[in-house]
Amino acid sequence: MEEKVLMEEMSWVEIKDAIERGKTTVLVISGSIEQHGPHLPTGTDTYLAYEVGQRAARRLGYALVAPVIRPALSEHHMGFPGSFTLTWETYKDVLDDYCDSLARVGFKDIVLMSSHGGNNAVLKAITPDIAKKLYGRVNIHLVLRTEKGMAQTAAFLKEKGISVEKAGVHSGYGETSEMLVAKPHLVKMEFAEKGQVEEALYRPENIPRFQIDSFIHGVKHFSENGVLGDPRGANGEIGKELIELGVNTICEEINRAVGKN
Amino acid sequence: MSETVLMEEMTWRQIKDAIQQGKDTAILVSGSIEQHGPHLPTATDTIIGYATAEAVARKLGNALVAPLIRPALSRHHIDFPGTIALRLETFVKVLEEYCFCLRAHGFKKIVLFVSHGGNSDALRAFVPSIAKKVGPDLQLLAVQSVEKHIKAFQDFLKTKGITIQRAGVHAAFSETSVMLALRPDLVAMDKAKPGLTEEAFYRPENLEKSKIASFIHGVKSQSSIGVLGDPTGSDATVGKEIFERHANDIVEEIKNNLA
Repeated sequence: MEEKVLMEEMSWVEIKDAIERGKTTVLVISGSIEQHGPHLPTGTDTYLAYEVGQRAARRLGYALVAPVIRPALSEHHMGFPGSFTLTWETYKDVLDDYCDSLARVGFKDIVLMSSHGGNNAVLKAITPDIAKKLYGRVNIHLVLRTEKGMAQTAAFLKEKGISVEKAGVHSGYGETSEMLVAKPHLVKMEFAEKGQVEEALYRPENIPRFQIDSFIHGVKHFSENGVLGDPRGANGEIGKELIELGVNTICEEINRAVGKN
Repeated sequence: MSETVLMEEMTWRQIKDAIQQGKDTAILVSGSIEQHGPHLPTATDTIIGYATAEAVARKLGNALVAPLIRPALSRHHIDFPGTIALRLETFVKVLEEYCFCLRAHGFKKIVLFVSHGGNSDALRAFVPSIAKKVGPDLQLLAVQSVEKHIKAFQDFLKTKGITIQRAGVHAAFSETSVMLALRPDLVAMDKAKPGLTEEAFYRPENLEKSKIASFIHGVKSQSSIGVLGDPTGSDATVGKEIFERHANDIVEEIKNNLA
């Protein structure tokens, strides 16, 4: 049996022993509970956070995974039933409380991560304040998907003949393929429909603008079914490689952040 | 397999259709992430909370289960690694924002209960003000105080020859038996040891005082291993019955209180 790295599956004694044996880093991942089109469950980002977190922690060898934070920031998906959102003030309070709790028990490094793009900007903005509050007790690091990582993913998919607008940014080919690995029994491929596939929206240089517009107008304004991309034909083999690519870059970033190269 | 009632496992269209077909009640449980002795996982209350909510929703037939709220109020367990605690203010805000989201999606009723005793008083205290804020379109109902639940399993376990100090209130015979029924893969019975087993602590008339002592001094001062009661000899069959009785009690209380 593989070693346990999810704190919620461990007893306090197991967690204490793991920290004493050198697992002094904890991954705190923000996910979401929000609509993911007609074919994926609202827990999608949360399931993927656990999948990536678990793989990364095992690969790193010095980390445990905290219970994934959800709901988080999903205001732009509230036009669809089943989406839950916190206000950003409450989200920050939750993060503060998580980090304060984790700082008490011997972790040296807390790595803040996100499996849901909608959290990233706020997470980036509030991390310095959290780090300052906990200075001297624990080191706070922020590891988000980098442009380099996203470019690598796009290049990989392009090689497989998948365009940026098919890969998409929400419930498209990419995310659906990953879910076929993480939670295949919750993916309903028979309901997978094409969503927003206007190529210009997905060009790297246009993504920030697209994101702000989706915050202002809501995702529903851009896609009636909640899909940004085209999930049809999604493939578990590709999903496995996408997850591995993501885990590779995230592990490199975490190693760099906590100074373990 | 019957269709899932957990919103997080459903797509938005399934949730929309379910609400339109009359599943207008949301079950919102507050659990915890906190130490549960050397033999149970820190998600124990969360696991039991999901299973209870699911059973209640299926018995009601007109309900869906919201993603369980966790972490929550576990400050009294914070001395043990693995415990994550929200401040009271944070917990109340999270609770409130959940209710606003559920209202936005068209639910008419929210049934709230706890799978972690430490949340019980806060839930009772703040549900009225949250109800006022969300307005008359949404009916909020908090059911099953933790005291009621403890009294019920103490009485039931007495008939099986289990004393109140063995039944316990945290990670002891009662809770461990339920976990053996739900997630035996996460229970390490070889690590189970008795914790605080002073009979007076668990007498119904003393439970309030005992709880306040936990909040003030921390559970670690009452049991260095984090067990209030005695989990040794826990039994999955008894656990299943405790679980079923609890779910039935909740359903009955809901039916008595919601039109």
